[in-house]
Amino acid sequence: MDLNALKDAVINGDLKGCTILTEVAIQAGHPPEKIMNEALVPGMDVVGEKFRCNEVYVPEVLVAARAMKKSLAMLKPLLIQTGAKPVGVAVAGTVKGDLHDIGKNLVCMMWEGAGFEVVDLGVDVSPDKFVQGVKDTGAQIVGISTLLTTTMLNMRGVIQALERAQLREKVKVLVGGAPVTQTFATEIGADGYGESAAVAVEKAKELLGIA
Amino acid sequence: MPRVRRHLIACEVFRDEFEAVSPPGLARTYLPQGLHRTPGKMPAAIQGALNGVGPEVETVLLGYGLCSNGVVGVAARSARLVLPRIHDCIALLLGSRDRYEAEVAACPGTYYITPGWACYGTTSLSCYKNEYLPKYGEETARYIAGELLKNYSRVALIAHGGGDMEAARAHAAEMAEVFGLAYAEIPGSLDYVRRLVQGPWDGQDFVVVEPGSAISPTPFLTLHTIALP
Repeated sequence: MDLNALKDAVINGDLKGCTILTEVAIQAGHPPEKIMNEALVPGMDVVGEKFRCNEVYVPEVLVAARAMKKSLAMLKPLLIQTGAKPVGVAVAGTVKGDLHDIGKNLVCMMWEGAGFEVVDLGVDVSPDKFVQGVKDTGAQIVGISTLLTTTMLNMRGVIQALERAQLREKVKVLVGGAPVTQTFATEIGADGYGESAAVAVEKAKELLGIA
Repeated sequence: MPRVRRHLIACEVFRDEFEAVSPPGLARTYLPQGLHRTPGKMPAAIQGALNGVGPEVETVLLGYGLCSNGVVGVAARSARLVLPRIHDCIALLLGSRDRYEAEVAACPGTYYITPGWACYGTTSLSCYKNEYLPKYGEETARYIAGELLKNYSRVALIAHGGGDMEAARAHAAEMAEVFGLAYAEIPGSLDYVRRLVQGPWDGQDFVVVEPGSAISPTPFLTLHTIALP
């Protein structure tokens, strides 16, 4: 069975199509990792790239994300059965003072699709909560998101809190969100910047040395 | 003919506000609301309008804040640029940054509406009715609006005495009802808008960029930002 149809269903945000085609792919004997890596993640990559180029907007991204999430939920029990180990553990949250979470949710989903165990800390997350999240999960990746220029400087506070808790050396910090740039990421001492959810996946893998 | 010395370029969402306070001699250009949604394209749109301003103009007033860095890089050849030292337009409509910060502290999940948005702009309600419903049908349209609004708890109509308040009130109240949000009317003020048009422009509340220089995010980012506990 060709996985391209499932990839297209993700791109088109076709919830029903994703449900049916995921089932078909499972029945056809495709391993769940393969379905994720060859249909779901590349499908969402296409949507993310179109979004970056202003070819599609937030509603299309949300609808595609819902479709992908449905497929992921169907694959998850199979992954647990096969005893597949996560490639890494990541925590993610929207920074203190900001309630926007569409971008952060997308990154969480893409990380999950790429095989990470992801703990979503939610929105308006204080530096202490990020620190606690790392302690509770043993995460190697910390993702910090913001949409607002008013709150982007609070990202630095998270990095400083990780330093104070002596966790900074144990984690890689990735930042992203509309007003964030590579220059800003470097300035606040982040390890990486993802200009899209797809790049966030590449960066996370690269920082952990996963091919 | 008196020499035209000032020219206003503003987001259309402020049309009512600027029309209420502008002297008759002030040339005015309004650009479509919603440019901030694609901040990468926004500087070019503003620059385009700026390039159309004649060489006799000494000062261009910009009715924009930092707007997700959507003004960064904009520069005028021979005119000075003046813009309010704000991150987004809510502070301008409420009359000051302090008022905005007080509202954020009181209810962070607030969706602000003014007559300008209801008349010239798009809101989650107008998008829901005019785009999502026809394109996706009710279930998916609801899902999209739900995702966009899930962290909001109230719709606040800013009342500053300008614009078509009746239409705006009806729009805001309908939005609150359709999406199950609280509804409030909060006082706005034309003071900040008036100060932009009339000057003087102090460095605390305004950013002044000399001819030939580009707008930088620094003066906005060095403002008091939402404090950490």
